[in-house]
Formats: sequence, structure tokens, C-alpha cells
Amino acid sequence: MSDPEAPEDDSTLAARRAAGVMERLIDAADVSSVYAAPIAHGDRLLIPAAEVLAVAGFGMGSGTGDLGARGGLARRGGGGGGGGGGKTLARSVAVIVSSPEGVEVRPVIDVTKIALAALTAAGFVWAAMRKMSKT
Amino acid sequence: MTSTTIRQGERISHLGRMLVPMTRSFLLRLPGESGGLVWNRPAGVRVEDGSGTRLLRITDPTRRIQLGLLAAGLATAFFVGRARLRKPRPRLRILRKFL
Repeated sequence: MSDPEAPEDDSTLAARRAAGVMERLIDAADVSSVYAAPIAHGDRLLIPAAEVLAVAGFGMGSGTGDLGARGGLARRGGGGGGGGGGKTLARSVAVIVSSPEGVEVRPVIDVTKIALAALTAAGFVWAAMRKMSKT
Repeated sequence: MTSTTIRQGERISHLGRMLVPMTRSFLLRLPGESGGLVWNRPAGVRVEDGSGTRLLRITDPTRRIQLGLLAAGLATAFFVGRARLRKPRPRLRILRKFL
């Protein structure tokens, strides 16, 4: 019979943590992570909507070695380790507005992201033209 | 393993109409439960009122503009590169001088 008070094995603890991370990752797929609680403003109701991207990865390993006996002493060793990381990104996409006139979806435009994309595109063109002028 | 799911949120009642937010989520699970990716985005809102039921789609103009700009940049760079290949090489011009 196992003792519930006994300290957990390292691999069991790591596996449990990994399962916890996976659960939290899957929680990001829930509707509540995309839509915020409705905000009442006068006779209007606003529901903000966002895009959520969650990424996680982890791994672990262990090994043992046996170098044989030396001086009558057995030389054995073992070790293990693990690591992981993750990131969650969220960005506003739209606001749903319900008013006496009706329901409409108002998009949220991220000017910074668009400016960065424009600069990247300009960078491609500039690099191609520079290459062309060199020949 | 990958999966795409459309989910419905809780119904919200306002001014005699019902709003049902919907999401589209993409889930990627790495083998051995070693991680994964979740991309969850708003798909639309279903509006139920006296006149019937309709779906209002939620588009992402920021993503469209971003992809459009990057595609235009890559296409321009590609055509500029092609034009460079068609341009006569300087070596040939020198040869023409002597011919």
C-alpha cells in the first residue's frame, strides 16, 4: 500500500506538472478566453473579442550508467532533467455592439502591426532592388 | 494530432434579442503530451430576434492587411529578382564593344 504522505518521485512530479501545463493550454481553447464579459453602457452592450494563441512545449529525460567495479566499489550513476516553456499571446480583433438600432461587429485595427508588416514588405523590395543594382 | 472546433459561448440576452458568441479553435498536440499549440479566434455571433436568426461573421482586418502587405512585398521582390536575371550581363556588353 502506498503512503500518500510519501514524497513524490521526480518523474511523477514532472509528469504531473506537464499534465497541468497541457490542461491550462487546452483551457485557452475555451470560448471565455476569446470573449470578455459583456460591458453595459447606457442602452448599449459591448462584447470585446480577442484572438488567443497559446504555445507550450516541454521534455524530460533520464539515464543511468554503469562503469563496472573499481577498487571493489561499484561505479554507477544516474541523472535526469527536464525543461519547458510556453507563451500566450492575445490581440483584440473586434467589438460586438448591441444597441437599439441593431447588432454590429466593429473591427479593431492594430496600426502598429500593420506598420511593421509594411516595413517588412518594404525591406524585401529594398533588398531585391539593392541586389539588382549591384549587378 | 490536430483538430479544429467551433464552439458556442453562453447566450447573452439584450433588448429582447439573444446573442451567441462563437469561436473557432485550432488545437495541435505534440506526440507524448510534450506540448502543443492552441489558436483560438472569434468566428462570429449568432443573433436571434423576432425577425429570425442570423450569423454576423467576425473578420480580422489587421491580419488581412498584414498578409496582403507581406504578399505584395514578396511578389515585388520576386519580380524585381526576375527582371535582374533578364538584364544583360555587363560582360556581354563589353564583348559587344569589341564585336
